[in-house]
Amino acid sequence: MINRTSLIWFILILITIGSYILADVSTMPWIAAIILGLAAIKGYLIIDGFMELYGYKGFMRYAMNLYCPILGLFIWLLVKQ
Amino acid sequence: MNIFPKSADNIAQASASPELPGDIVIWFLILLEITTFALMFLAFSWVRGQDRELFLAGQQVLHPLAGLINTIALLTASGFVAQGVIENRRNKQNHAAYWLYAGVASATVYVVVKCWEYWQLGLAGYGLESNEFFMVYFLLTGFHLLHVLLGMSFLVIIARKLRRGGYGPSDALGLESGACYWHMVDLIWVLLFPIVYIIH
Repeated sequence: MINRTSLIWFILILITIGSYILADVSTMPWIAAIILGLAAIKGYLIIDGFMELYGYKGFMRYAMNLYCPILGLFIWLLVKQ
Repeated sequence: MNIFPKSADNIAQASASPELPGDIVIWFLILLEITTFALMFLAFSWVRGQDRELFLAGQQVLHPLAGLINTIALLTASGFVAQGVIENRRNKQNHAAYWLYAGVASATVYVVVKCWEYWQLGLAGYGLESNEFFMVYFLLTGFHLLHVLLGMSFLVIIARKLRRGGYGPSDALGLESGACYWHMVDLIWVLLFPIVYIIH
């Protein structure tokens, strides 16, 4: 049976390759939004999966999990101009 | 599909209690580091917005495939380190040390590829003073590379301590702190890679 770490790693690699391929498709701003959204999902997998914050109810988990989506949003707003 | 199930099997693999892994000090350091990088990412994006053509031209010179290889190397290193933490929890300290050494080996791929990229850019005549794009590129990736090297040093020190029996299932604060620091290095690259290499 595939273990949890391997599964998270596999999903992260798939998303990475997907983002890489997607970047070649178009330079439209919505492509950048999707790529940054995928980066946020990768961030969530690293934070909750590898860092083992899943199940922890404190401030640190919320702060960490908000990091990628909020930063990604600001970056997108700056990049799409 | 929930990849973080609260099953008995998952609890055996993952943290046994819903507590913050590692030392609280390392988490404040992580917050400080990711905030610093966030400001650098925003500065990079803002400068890019000021001169879009210059940044697009600069991106054409970079090697996106090298960036992809580096992303896979860092994610693999993170997976190995996460497995090392789990092996320690199973009271297999030698196995845990091997996973950490595997993580260092994978991270070495990143360092070699990054140095190769710098060398190639140097040969092509690009440096810190070439233009704004290369100035922020070298500062951002160079600062991250320093963190990778620091993280690798932590992993080697922790693996050596593991081999000496310095950690156990109930005494893993240093191991978990080092692992979380390493995952932070990976987390930063997860954002750096699309911003610098693939978003056009």
